[in-house]
Amino acid sequence: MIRLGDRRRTAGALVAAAGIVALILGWGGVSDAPVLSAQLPYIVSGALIGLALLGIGLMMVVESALGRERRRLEQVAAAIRRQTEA
Amino acid sequence: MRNLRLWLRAEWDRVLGTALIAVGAVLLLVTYQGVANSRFVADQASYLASGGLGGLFLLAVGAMLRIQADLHDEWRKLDRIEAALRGEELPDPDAVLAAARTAPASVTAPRGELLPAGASAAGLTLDWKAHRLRRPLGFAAAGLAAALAVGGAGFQHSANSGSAGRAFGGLAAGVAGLSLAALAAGAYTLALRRRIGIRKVALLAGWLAPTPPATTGAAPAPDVVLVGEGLSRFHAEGCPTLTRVRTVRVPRAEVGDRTPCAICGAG
Repeated sequence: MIRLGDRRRTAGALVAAAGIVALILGWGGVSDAPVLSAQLPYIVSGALIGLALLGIGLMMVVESALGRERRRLEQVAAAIRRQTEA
Repeated sequence: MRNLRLWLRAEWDRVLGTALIAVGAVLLLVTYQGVANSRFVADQASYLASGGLGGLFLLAVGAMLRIQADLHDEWRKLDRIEAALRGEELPDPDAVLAAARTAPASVTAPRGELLPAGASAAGLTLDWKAHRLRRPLGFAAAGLAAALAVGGAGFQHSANSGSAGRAFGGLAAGVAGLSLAALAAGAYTLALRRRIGIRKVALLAGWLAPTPPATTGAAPAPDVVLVGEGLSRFHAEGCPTLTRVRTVRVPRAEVGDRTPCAICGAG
């Protein structure tokens, strides 16, 4: 069974990969465009949106890792409560 | 959601972060449209300096706030562990928020929010002052404000300039502002993470210490034990539950009606 945290990590990795693809496509577009005014739209779609996707993807991966850590801490808290009540 | 105010108080950073990310994404798309439909490089550079870098700025701050929300959740878990170590019980914030979602509000919390019957606002939010979290937040806010000022100056420089060189100068200032924002957000996140690590070690190091070699028979009860004001149990020296608790040493015979701590085996 796939937990929400794992799904978020997978989705984050996919979003980050999409960002890297956008960066590569943007670089290809800029290198093929003959004039600066034709290159700038590629800079926005490739570099800026690619960076944004990369950042959001990494954020989702970090959130997933922090979620796993929180679940472990909750288990620790429950174990301590059991021991103190014993 | 029947108790929006309570939910916003507990989840403000996650809500604000998500909203900033959404606005930043829209700004980037609008910028793309503006740049693609413009024929003049100076105009395109102005779009980049405003919507493009502004969108990335909002995305960076939004991501920082969402990760901060997760770190704050972790801090609240440590609050619950610390309370459990002392034999106390803090309510689970997730359970309180779930109750607030469905149950009618009937109790008033200290700041005026209505809570479901039987719920408590304790542990729902962070005590920034007590945990000394204000300073890193202040530094991060100052860094982001400086980044905003630099980026805004870059936009002013490039907007309506009419000259590509001047517009790209403003764009460079915007990139510098964005880098400063990323630096401030990253430093704040790392500082928060470091404090959580230090707190984890302080709370749990006693549990992770190697177990002393087994001895024959039960260890003798100590003659002198530790007690603290408001604590219902007495403890042996080095008990992990006494982290950050002021205690005094008293003879074992003078503990009164206090019970021995089950964790350190003071009895």
